[in-house]
Amino acid sequence: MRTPSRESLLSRTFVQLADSLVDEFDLIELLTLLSLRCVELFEAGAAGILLADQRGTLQVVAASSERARLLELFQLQNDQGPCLDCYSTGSPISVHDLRSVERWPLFTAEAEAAGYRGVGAFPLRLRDEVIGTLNIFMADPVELGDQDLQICQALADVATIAILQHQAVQQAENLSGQLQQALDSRIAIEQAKGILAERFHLEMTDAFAQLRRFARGSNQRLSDVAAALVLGQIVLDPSTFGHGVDTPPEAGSSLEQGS
Amino acid sequence: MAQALSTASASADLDETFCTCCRDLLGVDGVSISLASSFDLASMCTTNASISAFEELEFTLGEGPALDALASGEPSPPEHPPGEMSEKRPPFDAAAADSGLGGVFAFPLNVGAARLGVLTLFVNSITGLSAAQHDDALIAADALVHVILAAQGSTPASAEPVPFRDVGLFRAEIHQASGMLSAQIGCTVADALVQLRGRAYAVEKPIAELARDVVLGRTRLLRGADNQIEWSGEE
Repeated sequence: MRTPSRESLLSRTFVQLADSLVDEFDLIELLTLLSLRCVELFEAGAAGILLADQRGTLQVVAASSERARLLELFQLQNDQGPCLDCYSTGSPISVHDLRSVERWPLFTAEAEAAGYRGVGAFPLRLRDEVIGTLNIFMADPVELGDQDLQICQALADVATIAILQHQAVQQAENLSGQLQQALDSRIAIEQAKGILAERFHLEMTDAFAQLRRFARGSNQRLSDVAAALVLGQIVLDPSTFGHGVDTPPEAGSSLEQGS
Repeated sequence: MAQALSTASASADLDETFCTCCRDLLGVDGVSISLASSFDLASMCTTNASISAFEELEFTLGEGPALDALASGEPSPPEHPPGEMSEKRPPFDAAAADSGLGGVFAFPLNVGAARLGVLTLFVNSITGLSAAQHDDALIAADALVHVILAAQGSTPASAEPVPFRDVGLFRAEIHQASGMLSAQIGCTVADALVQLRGRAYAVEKPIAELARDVVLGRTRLLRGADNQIEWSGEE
């Protein structure tokens, strides 16, 4: 099996993202795919996208993995860390070895405990505003070159466009409204995960996988399925659940199947 | 503004006075706050009688801007000429004209997909809401979510014994826990969140920590004898 070259993976990523922007798409699903692509493109350990809410708190809206440990690592950067610095300054940050910096002692300890040595944070920019960050974690202290940094920023820019363009943006031209919708969609997904986890005795990561699977299989938007579950409008049939099919892909696996 | 709303709600009932306070803070001509139950709305408070009448008409007819906002989970568009509205809903034309209303703008009060209610703003002029008013309304809506959760759970609006950030826990667990609790006792996710907040306050635990206990299965909700809701397990 041939592994795709970096360039071809990159061009396919951008084509896929562009297609999604033209068609109707689900924002959280798109940002999740974008995070997974980052992991693939840079052989990273993990990636995630955070948006600031009305109070300026950075909230995870999508990540390459739903593992609680990783999500905590994003979240605790509200106190200290590359995401916070990136968000405040609007400048990208790239640290290839956390052991070589003293800036974020608490964050560094947590990141290392989770198995990460390198980190990057790229601003989601809209003219003068920074609305969030794209965060990448690397297991090994590998330096991201100039071209890599440019690609990361381009992916962050795509995320920004997606957030502004998504689906039922319709009349909500107001930026606050759009960001609120993105955050609400994520919350609805967390609520839906809880419902599925309880009803069918699933781990949260499995619950998310089943949610995505059901949405794709029934040709509905992930956010719509989540909302429908929360509002009691639909019930999932456990006989449709796959087993172990949709565990979050590790770096290098193919996303082409769109399954 | 969020602070002002919290303070106002703490010292008063959620009634006409409170609505008037919202109206003044938002710089509009009238405000109504309604609460959701299933897919219906019930008026909680308004700033004056003609708005109450307008709302009653909407809820009786089963359609209108507040009900749209409740169903869609999205706010009314900011530029919302009353003419357009009356084209779609003739009965509102007369009611709106009687009340001297120029525009009606509804903002859903949500936590994710869970519906708590609707904040409706009324302006007398024909102009829509300004971008600033729209932004302020979103902030007010967010603050009102906390006010309503507090009122329903009989806890203070700012009832976080310890700010969640100090505990260093991921807040998604609060929403996951709400989902789990709702499935455990068959209530809405909104009600589950009220339960979670109430319990956290009662046992003096940060809500994020209690949420984590729920997610890890350490504590859960049950329906006991007489359909009473009980918490079980260790905290």
